[in-house]
Amino acid sequence: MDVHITYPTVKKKGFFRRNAHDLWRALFTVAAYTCLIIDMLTPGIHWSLIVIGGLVVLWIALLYRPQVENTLIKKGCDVLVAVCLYLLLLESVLGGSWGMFVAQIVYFGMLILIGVYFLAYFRRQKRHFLPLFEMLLAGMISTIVMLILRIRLTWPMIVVGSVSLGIQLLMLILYWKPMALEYHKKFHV
Amino acid sequence: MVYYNNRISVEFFHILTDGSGGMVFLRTLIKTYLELLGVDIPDFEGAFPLEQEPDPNEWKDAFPITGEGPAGTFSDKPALQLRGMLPLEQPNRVLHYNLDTDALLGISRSLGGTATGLLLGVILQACRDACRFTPRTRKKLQIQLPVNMRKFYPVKTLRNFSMYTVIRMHPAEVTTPAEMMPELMRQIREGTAQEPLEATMRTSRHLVRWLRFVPLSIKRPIAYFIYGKLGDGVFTTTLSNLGPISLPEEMAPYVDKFDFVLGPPVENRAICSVCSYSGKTVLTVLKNTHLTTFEDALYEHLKAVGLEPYMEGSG
Repeated sequence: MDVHITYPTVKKKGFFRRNAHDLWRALFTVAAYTCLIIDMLTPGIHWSLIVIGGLVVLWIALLYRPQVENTLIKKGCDVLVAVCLYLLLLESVLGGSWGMFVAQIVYFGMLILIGVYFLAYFRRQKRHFLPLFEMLLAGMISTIVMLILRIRLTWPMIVVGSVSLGIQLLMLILYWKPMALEYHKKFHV
Repeated sequence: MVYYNNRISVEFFHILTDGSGGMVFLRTLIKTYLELLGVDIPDFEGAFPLEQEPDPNEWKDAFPITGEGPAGTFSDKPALQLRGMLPLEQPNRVLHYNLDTDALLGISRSLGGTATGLLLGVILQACRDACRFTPRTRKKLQIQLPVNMRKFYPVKTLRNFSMYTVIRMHPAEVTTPAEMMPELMRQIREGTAQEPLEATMRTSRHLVRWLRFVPLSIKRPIAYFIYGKLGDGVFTTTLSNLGPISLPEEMAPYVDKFDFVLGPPVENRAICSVCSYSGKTVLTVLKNTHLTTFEDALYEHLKAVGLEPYMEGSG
């Protein structure tokens, strides 16, 4: 069967460049399993969980590329969730009661960063608001739930709720029409 | 939208439109391109004049047209898959089998069937040669055959309005296109009838209605898994026939041929699509594996029925 080539020839990349993603994944997996096995064979705290959690955060921050919505806002939100969960993991392994407190500070800090980026580059970023909206909604709901259940509110939690509400209001006040259109596009049924 | 030498390629997201809607876009694009080069082309059916206001019916969801009634099912038994490792880089290769339309139609009619029936027969033979089975194998060769629903409803929508039927045959029962033709035509006739397709359309509509409140972040990974394991896994391959494409005679001297490539599957090793224009039928195979058994067998079986494919493709 003689095939006449009618498509452009694809430049072949080297083995390492072509398979970089899979090689990194293999390296991370081997590192995680090695730590887990060594940790299980040695006494003391389960330090391998800290390493595995760190590898997961690194993977999400540096190597993970979602096939859909691969945007800076989505990346920021993914990293935010990963770091907060990692902080809670650190607390559960190392002990203490600082994890939630620090996670809340990180949460509102990242929300401010992502929110400022979104508002500053609104025309380009307006289509990518959904992950930020999910984070804002999570911040507001968790604050309201804590208020309803009368759980003692810490100052970072109050800031999380205020920042979430503030960014949401700013989005609507500054860009009411385009935001209404974006909400309609994302949530119409 | 990309170009290479004198070829224009347009990629369409199937959620937005199907082959028929895509063809309207491509014809409008070519017409506009030629007009910009100074060719005088009158308005014709199947392309939009740029100055014309869009009709809201062009983007209307036509699926609710069936109304209420019995619903069908999407689930099916897992199909026999072709042999071959799935490489990291997909799709692996695109192959075009250029066939003479008159010869294809002549042979099909002499066997008492249609061009789709003949191509299905040849593809079934190639699938049989490219898969591993014994007479005791329970799985069957299952070929997805998309159906344009516009033939039942004269809608103006350019949105996706297609359904599909499945052609099933045990590999041990695959013989020659001549012997299989009555059975293939029966399955095509029954499967592409309005009633079963409407039932599947209703299920699809219900599914969309139930899922509309589920956030995208939850739907996306689940949909990908279900598509890979159920959507793709219940078919051996696909044969999507866009049918004959027509252009006004003013455009004909500038267009050599059309071909039509499906989006890459997840589990299937090869999928096929076909369209014809100006006496030339192009059967395209999108390969997902390095193993060449399927395309080699397809070439040999096409020659065996009396067709002389001229092969083009990617390297």
